[in-house]
Formats: sequence, C-alpha cells, structure tokens
Amino acid sequence: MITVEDNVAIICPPQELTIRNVGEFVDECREKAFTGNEIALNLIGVYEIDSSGIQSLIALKNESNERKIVVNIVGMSSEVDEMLSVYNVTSFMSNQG
Amino acid sequence: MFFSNEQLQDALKEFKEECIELLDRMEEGLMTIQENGPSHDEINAVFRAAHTIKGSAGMFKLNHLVEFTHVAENLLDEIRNDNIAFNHELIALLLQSKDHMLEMVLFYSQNFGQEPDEVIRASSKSIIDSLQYHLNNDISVAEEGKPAEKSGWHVEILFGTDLFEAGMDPSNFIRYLTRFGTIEHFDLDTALIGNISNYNPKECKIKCEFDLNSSISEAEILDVFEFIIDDIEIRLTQCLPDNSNDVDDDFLSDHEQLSESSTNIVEVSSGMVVDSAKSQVTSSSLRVDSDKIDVLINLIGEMVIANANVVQKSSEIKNNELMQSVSIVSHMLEEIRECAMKIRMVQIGDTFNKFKRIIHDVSKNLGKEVELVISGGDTELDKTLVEKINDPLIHIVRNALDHGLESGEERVLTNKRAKGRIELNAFHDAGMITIQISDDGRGLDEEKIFNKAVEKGILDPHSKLSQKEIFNLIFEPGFSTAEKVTDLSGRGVGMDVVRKNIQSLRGSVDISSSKGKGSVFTIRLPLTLAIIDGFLVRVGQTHYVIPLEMVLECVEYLGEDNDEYSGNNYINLRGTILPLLSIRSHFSETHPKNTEEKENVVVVRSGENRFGVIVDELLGEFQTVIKPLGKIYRGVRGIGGSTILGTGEVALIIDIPMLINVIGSEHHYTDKKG
Repeated sequence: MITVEDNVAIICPPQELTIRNVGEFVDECREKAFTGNEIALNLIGVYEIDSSGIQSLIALKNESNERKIVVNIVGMSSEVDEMLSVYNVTSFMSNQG
Repeated sequence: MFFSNEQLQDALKEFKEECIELLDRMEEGLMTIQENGPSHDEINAVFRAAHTIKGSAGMFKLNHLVEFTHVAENLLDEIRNDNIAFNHELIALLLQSKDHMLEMVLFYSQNFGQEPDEVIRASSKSIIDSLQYHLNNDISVAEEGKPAEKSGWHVEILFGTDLFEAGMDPSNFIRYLTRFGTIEHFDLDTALIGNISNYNPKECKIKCEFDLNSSISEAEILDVFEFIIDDIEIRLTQCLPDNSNDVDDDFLSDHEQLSESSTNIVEVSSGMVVDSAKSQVTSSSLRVDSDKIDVLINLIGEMVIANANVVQKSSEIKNNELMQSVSIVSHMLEEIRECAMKIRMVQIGDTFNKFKRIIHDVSKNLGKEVELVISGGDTELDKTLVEKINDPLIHIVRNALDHGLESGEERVLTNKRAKGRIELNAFHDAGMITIQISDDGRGLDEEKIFNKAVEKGILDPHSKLSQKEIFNLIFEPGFSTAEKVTDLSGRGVGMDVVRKNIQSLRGSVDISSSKGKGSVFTIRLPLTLAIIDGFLVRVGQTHYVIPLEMVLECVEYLGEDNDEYSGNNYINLRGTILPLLSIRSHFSETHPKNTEEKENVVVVRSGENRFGVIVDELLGEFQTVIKPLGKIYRGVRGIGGSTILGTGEVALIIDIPMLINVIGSEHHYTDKKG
C-alpha cells in the first residue's frame, strides 16, 4: 500500500477505504507515510470510500501540513472526488501546506 | 457501497415492515378522521407516517417512491396548516395514495435497484395529478395572510463519535439534504479530526456547518436526522443565505461532551429545546424478525421434551437431590417458555382496525350505510394466529356486508335504522380466544338454506336437522344462497374454506342467527399454536393430553351411577346432568380395561358446552409441545395434534371443541339441570 522511492512515500490506499478496513490503512500511514519528505497520494484505485475513509485522508493531510511534508494527489477516482465535494475539502486536500 | 449485500437485504426487510406499519397507521388515521372528523393529532400522525416513509425511501434512493410521497406529503402539510379543508373526496384520494405507496414498497422490496414499471408509473401519474389538482385549487387561505416565506437555514452539526461503528455515515445525511435545496458555504472542521498519528479511525470526528437554501421547515430538517437524532448535536438558524456569519462562534466547542453526555440536546434557533431523551420513550421496543422468535420457541419446545425425559429418568433413579434440582430446572424452563410465548402475543386490535377500511370501501360499493363497532381490541393472541385468521375474518365480514345487511330502504321498511351495524368483538374464554362478528341484518333463513342444500344435493329432503345443523350447512363446499354472484361474495367457495382454515388452527366456528334480527359468527381459537399446558391422562396403553385451560375438575367415575339418558351416558354432577364421552370407546381402544382400576371423569368446557371425558388414569399437568399429526391421523376427528412424552412415547392431544361437535352431531345432547 505504501512504498518509499527517492524520499517520496507513494501511498495507494486499498480499493475500499471504509470503516471496515480504515484502521489498517491508518496503521500503515503512521509507520511509513512520513519516512520521506514528500507524499504522492494515488487515489485512482479507491472505488469505495465513506466518511471514515475521508477522515483518514484529512488526518494524513493535517499531519503532513504540520510536518511540512508536501502531499501531491497523483490520481483520483470519481468516488473519492464525489466524497471530497460533499465535504467541500477538495481544495484543502490539494493545497500545499 | 455502504451496506454489504446481507445488510442491505436485512435493511430492506426492515424498511418494508416499517413502511407497512406506517401505512397501516396512515390508513387508521384517515379512517378515524372519516369517522370522527379531522383532529390535529390524527392529521399530524398521517403526515408523520408519510414523511417518515419518504425519509426512509430516500435513504435507499427509491426515487419514484420519494417523488410520489413528497406530493402526498405536501397536500397533508397544507391540510395540517389549515390551508386545505379535509373532505370525503380528499380522504378517498389519500387512501388511494396510501394503497399506491404500499404497492411501490412491495415492488421495491422485491426488485431493489429497479425503478417501477409502466403500470405503476401510470398510476403514480394519475394520482399525483389529482393530488396536485387539490394542491393548486383548494388552498383557500389568502396569500397575504401567510407567514413570511422561509428563505433558508444555517445548519451546524456535530456528529456523535460512535456513528461509524453504528453503521451510519454522515455523508449520506448531507447528501440527502440536497434533495430539499442547495447546500452552500459548507465548512468541515478539519482541525477537529487531528493528525493521523494520534487519532482513532473508528471515531467519527465530523463537525460541519453550511447554508441550506430551502423552504423546508425545521421539523423536516430534523426528520432527516431522525435515525441518529440521539447521536448528534444540531443547531438550525433560520436566515437568509448571506446571514451565515451571524452564528455563534462558541457553538459545539466541546466535542467530548457529546460522547459523555447521556441527554444530548437538539436545539433550534427559535428557542425551542427538544430533549432527545423524550424521543426515546417511543423507541423502548425492539423490532425482531419473527423467524428468530420461531427458532427460539422451537428450541424451547425441544428443551421441554428433553426436560420431560430428564424428569422421567430422575424419578426412576429416585435420588431426592437430583429430583429437587430437576424440579428447579423444570420450573425455570416453564418461566422461559411463558416469556418466549408472550413475545409472540399481539393485540388483535390492529387486525380489527383494518376492517374500518374494508367496510368503508365495500359499503360504498354496495351503496349501504354501515357502522362498525369494535370492542376487545386489546385481547392478545399468537402472531401466527392473527395472520392466519385475517382472511377468514375478511370473508365473514364481507358476507355480512353483502348478504347479511339489508339495503337502507329495506331496513327502513322493517322499522330498522337505515344504517346497518357490524360488531367485532374479542375476548378470552376458557383458555381460548373468542372472536365474534355480528350484524343486525336480516339473519339466516333456515328454510332457504335447507332448500338450497337439497337442491345442491348436499342434503336428503327428508333429513331432520336442528337449527344449528341447518346453519352449519353454509360451511359445506359449493354451498351458496346468494341469488346473484357479486365480486364480494356469493360464489360458494368461501365459507367452507373459512371453516377449514379455522379448523386448521385448532379452532371452531359457530353461528347463531335470528331471522330479521341478525347473525353472530363465533370463532374460537387456541391462544397459541406451539406449546400449551396440558393435562395428561391414560386410557388403556395410550396417553392423551387435554388442554389444561379447558379442564374444570376431575371426579371419580362410579360405574353404578351410570345410566341411560336419551341414549347417552351421563352422570349427575352436584345436581347437574353432565354428558359423558368414553375415550376408550370413541377412539376404539383395544387394550382391555383393568377391572380393578377405577375410572375417572375429566370435566371439560369449551364455550358454553360442558361434558365429561372418561379416562383410566389421571397423570397430571404436562408441558405439551404441539407436534403435527402424521397423514394417517389427520382424518381422526377429535385429535388435534401429538406430543412427545419424557419416555419418548407419543401422546395424542384431544381437540375438545372438535369432540364436542362430533358428539353434538351424533347425539343432540343438552346440558340440563337434574
């Protein structure tokens, strides 16, 4: 799910990012997401996302901002796009901290 | 997808059941308004039912149902705001809308993911046109007299921390709100969510505020959150969309308060504070799938049988301590059984109330004025019985409406009120429930029934029958005295099915009637179909169980008192002639009687009838798990089922009402004073 190449943590969350499995995603983020100095967040493969999933992405972004680590969204599925729109956080996620 | 397939099916099933209940409530409310005139409580109840159905349908994205219900709800809203006056035409239209909503609910419950077919859509359009017509034309209140039109709401919500784990997703509620208008200036408090290193992903940390540009009321907004109202804090401020900055900054500042608080507050800007604990009063019941209760009762039934075996074995071992322990377990098991059976008990009132609508529709079709009087609606019986008795009741009531009650003109000519009367009554009697359907119509015509039975070849013209036997002919297959067949009754295919259905429930149906005055159909049913308290007796080598609630007393049978009375056995029981029935001879027991053993008489009662059953030995009370009879025993009249004893032997359950019918038809006994 998370690989680190050239100081960039490439995060590809699972196809389903919901309350059922968000805990595993969060655990892995805590362990590996901040090991580089940049994050590439690829959300293209996320076909199912709920509010707990969005919350985890926002928490990832919050901590990245605090650590001054840049998060680049490199891909986004329509499901994630729609959910970000519902919560009106599309620009928050895209802004560079 | 938010639900798994299995969860979706469960949710749909619950949705269907809830909608059916709400639609029943809607119908009941409309019928009450029809009867007693409009009251705010009833109008609100009908509105709330429609509104909740719309809300639930929206959660499942059942768009067609939402659109249809929305129009009906709008009309009801205008009615409850006194902008449109209720009249019979509107009631009929709303009843039609209710029926159509039921049709759609049933469609969606079987075809989830599909939209209704052309037929349903065409009906929807036609009804919506009528609803819309009333909405456009009936509003009588002057526009200038109305309160200022609402322009929007500023909404602030803090969702409860446990929502995710409860299977709820706040985004669904927000999306649903967009059905009522547009959402602007949405602001999610991202800071509250915190950093990924130190937050609990299972906890909901959603706090947001936004403007909802819509003319809906605060009650309607709160209704969107009805399912989670106890788990959120919400503040609504009615304002123009650009007033959003006026909101208090300190609102919902302490997120932790919500999870710790047991009585969270739903607050609205008008100053009205609703303590959500109050709303919990109505949700003290738990909806459980009846199949699960069936499984529980079956298991308890098996435990009762197994326990009977333990009791038997412990009495053989004759160890006092063991017997004491077994006795405690038996007692507890009996209590568990009673509790489990009570879960299945429901009031018959809901079934009776449905007849308001049937009588309304049928009497309108027939052009008769009919009044329905209901009593004993709080009488309880097993849910399965309630479901199965519904059709026979409908048939009897329709017959009473169609054939029993005369037309208004005919009634006036015979010095009766033009308005006919049908009464439904229920009460407990001798361990059974009795349901009576009576009418004040023309009554049964003995001569006509007799002649018809002869004409149909059911009866020999020289037969000599009692009045009761003649009345019972209407239950014969193919019998009908109706001069013209209507779509309501008179096809002669109904009353025999009515009797068969009632008998299949171990019940009986009797008729009493007086020409020109009316008829009474009396249905007697057991309270339950699963486990009963029985009284175990033995005749020869066969064990029989008599339902305990029908047993009045037991007396020793002294053979020398035995005498012939009009060809029947009887005894003089404290000055009363008590007809007797020998189980030995009735069921042709072949095992010889022990001449040294004194026989006993079990005095039983069913309805108004009392008689004595002669048995060899009284064995006492016995928890009886009713098992169906095998095919070869089904034709044996007087046996209603079987059960398994602790020894593993089978005992037969005596069907007392059936036995009374059998003896009654064989010998016209009467219970006379000696």
